Amino acid sequence: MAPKHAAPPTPKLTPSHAELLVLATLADAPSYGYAITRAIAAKSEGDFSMGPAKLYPLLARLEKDGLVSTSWEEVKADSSDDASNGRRRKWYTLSKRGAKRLEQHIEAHRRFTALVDAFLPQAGGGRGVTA
Amino acid sequence: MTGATPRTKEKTDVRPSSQDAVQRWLDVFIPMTGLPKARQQDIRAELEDHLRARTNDLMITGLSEPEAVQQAVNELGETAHLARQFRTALKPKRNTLMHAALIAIAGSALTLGIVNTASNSQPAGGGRHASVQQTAAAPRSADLSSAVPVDQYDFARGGTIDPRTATFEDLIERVRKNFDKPIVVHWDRLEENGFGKRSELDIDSDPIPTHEALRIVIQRSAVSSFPRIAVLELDDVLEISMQEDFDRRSVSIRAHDISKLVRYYVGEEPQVPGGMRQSRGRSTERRLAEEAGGEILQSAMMLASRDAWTDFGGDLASAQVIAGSLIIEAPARIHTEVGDVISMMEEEVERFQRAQAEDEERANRAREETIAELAAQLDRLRDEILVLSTRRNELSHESQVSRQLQQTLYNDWVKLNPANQRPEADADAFAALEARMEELRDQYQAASFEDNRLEYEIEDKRAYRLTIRNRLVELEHGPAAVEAAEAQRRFNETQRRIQQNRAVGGGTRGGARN
Repeated sequence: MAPKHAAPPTPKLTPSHAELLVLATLADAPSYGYAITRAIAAKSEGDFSMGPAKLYPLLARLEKDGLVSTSWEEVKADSSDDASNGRRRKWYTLSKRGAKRLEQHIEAHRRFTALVDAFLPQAGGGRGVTA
Repeated sequence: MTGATPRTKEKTDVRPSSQDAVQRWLDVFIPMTGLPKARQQDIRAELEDHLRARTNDLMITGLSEPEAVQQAVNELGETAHLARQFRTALKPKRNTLMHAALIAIAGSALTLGIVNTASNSQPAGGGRHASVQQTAAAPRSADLSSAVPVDQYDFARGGTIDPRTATFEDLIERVRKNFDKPIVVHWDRLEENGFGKRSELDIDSDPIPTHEALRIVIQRSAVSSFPRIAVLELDDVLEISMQEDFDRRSVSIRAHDISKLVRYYVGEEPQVPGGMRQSRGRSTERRLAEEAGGEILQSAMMLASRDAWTDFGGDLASAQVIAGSLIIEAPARIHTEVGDVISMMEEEVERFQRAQAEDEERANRAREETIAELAAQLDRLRDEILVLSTRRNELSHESQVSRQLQQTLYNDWVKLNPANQRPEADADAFAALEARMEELRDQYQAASFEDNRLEYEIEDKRAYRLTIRNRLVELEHGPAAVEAAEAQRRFNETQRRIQQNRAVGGGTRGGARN
């Protein structure tokens, strides 16, 4: 078993990356809050944690900025006496503006990654970047 | 929400009626957001959905329901922090309203035409100089208060525009072509604040007249509190930038007179019995005036661009209360607003004082009428008592005469009946005499009864008269005067009794001395 300190640190999401992940998730299909957290956790195999305290304010801002559109669905539970019966679910759909923003995010991310990659040692050995 | 069709139209409150742990948590959390009610309801529904879905998932992993709810709630983090996150996310600012505001301003531009500035141009404020076309001279600070109200322009010109595809630059170009007065647009400042040339108009509609598009966005901006774009009209140019920049260019210190309001708030000194005013003392007066000034300043700050004041976290305006003035350092726009607020408050105070004076006048009229009525009643009672007293005197006189006659008859009766035996010779005369004596006794008794009755009636009327007199004194001079009058009456009564007693005692002693 590898010692704990040998494991790479869990990547921490910046606000910009959080927005990118949510927009990218919604680009696949419309979704709702809890499903988005599960989708992000599943896709990152648990490495990215998008908790509700981050997600819902972010979604509210995306809606306010017109990057997503929303609609409501009434949720029916299996049991008629279930407390969750009749609750409402808010669905998010990527808007045209959101799609544009996502493209900008992807482009910026690729450029950033490419720039960082240029500083990394080539695969199979070689020297690192030196001053 | 823009563009999406709701999957299910919601018309009813679908929250479960039972106040379970989730509801209780939401009851605590939601008001902490401090957001508008409609927004609170949406957040509540969404978080409830999240918590219930998360609880179900956690229960599948083996947790009991209370444990699952607790964990789901814990995952939301500290409530105050979450509430702050929502507030920050929904804080009115930047993009959306920038669109609205700029379109609104472009509306103003319809009559004026546009000159685009160089990309690095800025207004002269904020430590940076405007770099505008040669037609745009640096504005005089005195002009900066004259932001142009968009509704004063003729929106009927400007053609149509497709608000789905048009950008703000398109819109401004369109209006520029229709009008000849140059416009200076500080695009860099607008873009810094989240709105650029390529920003969409964000109106989901078929092509509509430009003025209609403008109106829609103006109405949007009118109900929002986002940082605004503003228009400044100078003699030969219209300048468009952030309101904040114009504000910073027009900061000045001014004194706003609030002495009238302070006098009203402090009020008159309280009255003491007898109508004298009680002096409050200088320190009390000063304290009351300071409190009043503080309250007036708070009202002014709340009503005039609240977020601009340093007291509320802003950095545009600050104020102090000195004597009867608000000394305010603020942009011209806020000075105007403060002036308007003070004027409104003064008008309100005047209206209230007028209403108070009218009420007082009505009350005075009613009081005068009551006094007149009571005085008339008092006179009537005095007359009635006089009549009764006269009648009582007459009765007294009649009784005296009757008594004397009785005595005379009794003497006659004794003469006729010296041996206290009925005389047989003058039996008839004797019987007549006895009948007459009987009659006189009855008359005397009846007169005594009537005298007693009159005495009680007079006493009743006197007591009633006293009540009315006290009421009159109270109306004319206040309750304290009634107490004083009553004390005086009791004193007079006591004096009268002492004098009576002295007269009686003095007579006896005098008799002894004689």
